[in-house]
Amino acid sequence: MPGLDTVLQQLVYTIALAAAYGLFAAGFLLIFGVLDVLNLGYAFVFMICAIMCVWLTLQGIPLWASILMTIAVGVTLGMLTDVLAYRPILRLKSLIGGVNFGPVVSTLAMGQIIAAVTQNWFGTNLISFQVTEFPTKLYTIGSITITSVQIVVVVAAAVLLFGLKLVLSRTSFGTSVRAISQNRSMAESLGINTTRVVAGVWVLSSTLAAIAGICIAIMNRAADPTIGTNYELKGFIIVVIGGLGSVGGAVLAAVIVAVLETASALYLGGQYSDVVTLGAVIVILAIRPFGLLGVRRRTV
Amino acid sequence: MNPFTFIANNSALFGVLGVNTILAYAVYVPLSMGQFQVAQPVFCAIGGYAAGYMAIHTDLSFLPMLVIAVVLTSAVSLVFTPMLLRLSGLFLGLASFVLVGLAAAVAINLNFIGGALGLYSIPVYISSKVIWIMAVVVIAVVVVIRRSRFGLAMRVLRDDPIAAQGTGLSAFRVNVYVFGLSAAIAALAGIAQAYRFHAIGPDEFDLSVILAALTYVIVGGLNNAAGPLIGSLVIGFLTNELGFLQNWQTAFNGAFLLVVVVFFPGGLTAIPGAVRTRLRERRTTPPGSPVVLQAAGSGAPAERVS
Repeated sequence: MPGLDTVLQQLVYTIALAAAYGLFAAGFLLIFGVLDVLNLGYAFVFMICAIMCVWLTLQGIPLWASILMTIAVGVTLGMLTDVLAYRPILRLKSLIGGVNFGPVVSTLAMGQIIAAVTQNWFGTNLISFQVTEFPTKLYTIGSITITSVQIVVVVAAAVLLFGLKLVLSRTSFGTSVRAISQNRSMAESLGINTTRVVAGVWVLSSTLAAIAGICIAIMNRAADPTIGTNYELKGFIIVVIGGLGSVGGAVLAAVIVAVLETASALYLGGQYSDVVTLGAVIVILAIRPFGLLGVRRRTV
Repeated sequence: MNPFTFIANNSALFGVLGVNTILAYAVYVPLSMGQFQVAQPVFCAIGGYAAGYMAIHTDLSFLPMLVIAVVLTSAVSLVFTPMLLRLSGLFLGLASFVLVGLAAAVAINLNFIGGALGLYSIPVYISSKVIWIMAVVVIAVVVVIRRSRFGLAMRVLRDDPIAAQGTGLSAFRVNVYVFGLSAAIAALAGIAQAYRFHAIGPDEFDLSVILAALTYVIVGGLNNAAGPLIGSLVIGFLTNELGFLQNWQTAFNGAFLLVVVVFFPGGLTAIPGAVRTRLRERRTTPPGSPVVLQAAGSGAPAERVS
């Protein structure tokens, strides 16, 4: 039975992991909740940003500049997805069972394109930061160690997620976003420039993906093309568990998933964490099918 | 070179195309009928593993194993229905995605079915011809069902669920049957895979498989029973012929898919209908007559405003 020290140390790691998951999930949830679109290309934006951040530093660009450039890339990809994969599909109503699956497929297509670009540009291997890139300070409290990177990531995630919540609830942009998610045509007839607001949502979502990617790259000191699919699945799981209710739901679910993962790795051995997660998903589907904090919505 | 030689020389390719086609139909059935779920790879796995396991450990011949595997998979699918069919819309799609991803991850850990390597050296061989016979049977079943009362019930439920339920139709029951049918067809795909290629493992039913199947169905078109067939053949041949693109092939697939979804939302099979409608308009619309309304891309007949 692992001792208290190990548990506490794992707790530190879990919190950092939950922060990254939370960022990733929040971006995905934005698109899902507001636009009813299952953005299958989202994880690929995340992946290319993580890889790009590392690659840029390897080209000699200082870390802070790489981060900014990567965020710019994330913003651009968001706009591209909106223009290429979302807007053309909107005018065509391809509905199955009330679900407009056109964007699902077109975002998937975008994701494939991004994946191919990644593969050709960066190769398929893992790339890591140079050790000297950023000196990591270690803080020791009792017998547990916390790295400065973990602190930065957790603080950044907390600030961003809280900021997102404030934007959604306090600003006029946020109000427009919520209006559009409830009834798009009504919002439009009330004078809200839906095209512009939706573009903003796409940019916001992909920026979150970019920042999540940067955080993961920094925490693991490396990035490779497979993290896209891993995190995509985690993101979906978080949405299934947390539901469509709010940013808070995503954060709560992210914490739950992170805890499940690290706890099962600690107590049961690494290979069972997927089984545990599957069990959790099945339990949620059985007792609260729309997610823990989910609200049954008219269009979903 | 005559077609038969071509097929004989490329037996493996046609085997793969056959499996893909069957899986595409498994995805097509619920999607075209309003049930946006993508859990088919899970049932592909169950069918394939069951078939492989029976082949390795028992002495049954092909047909009994086929039947048992399909029946087993349909039975297991019934376990999922109460859980999944309470969801609707995108949430169902999302949940089914999650199940696919997690099932693959879990299968890697189950040692009695081979773990990460899966089952291999399965001592049964069926040729690509047999796979295509299975595919033809599946297509025939789908066509017959579409034209039957049940097909009508599915379409009514998709187009207007409230009216459909008002006539006494049980939405849940129809959804369960659709789910079960899709699971059975998926099981066939898994069995075909296991017996043609002597191996089945977690790689054969992860997320990329379902995304590929979705591509076949969308490219082919959802309004036509030939859609999945056309889709899987077109993409299969494109993938094969464009091998020289190598790493850019994924980008090509993505771009191709994007173009099809944006410009041909009804899929490739909707093109003849749309062309026909356009020609008909051109022929029958006298010059100077008012605006003609047309349903976008789906090949539905145009309505005239007069």
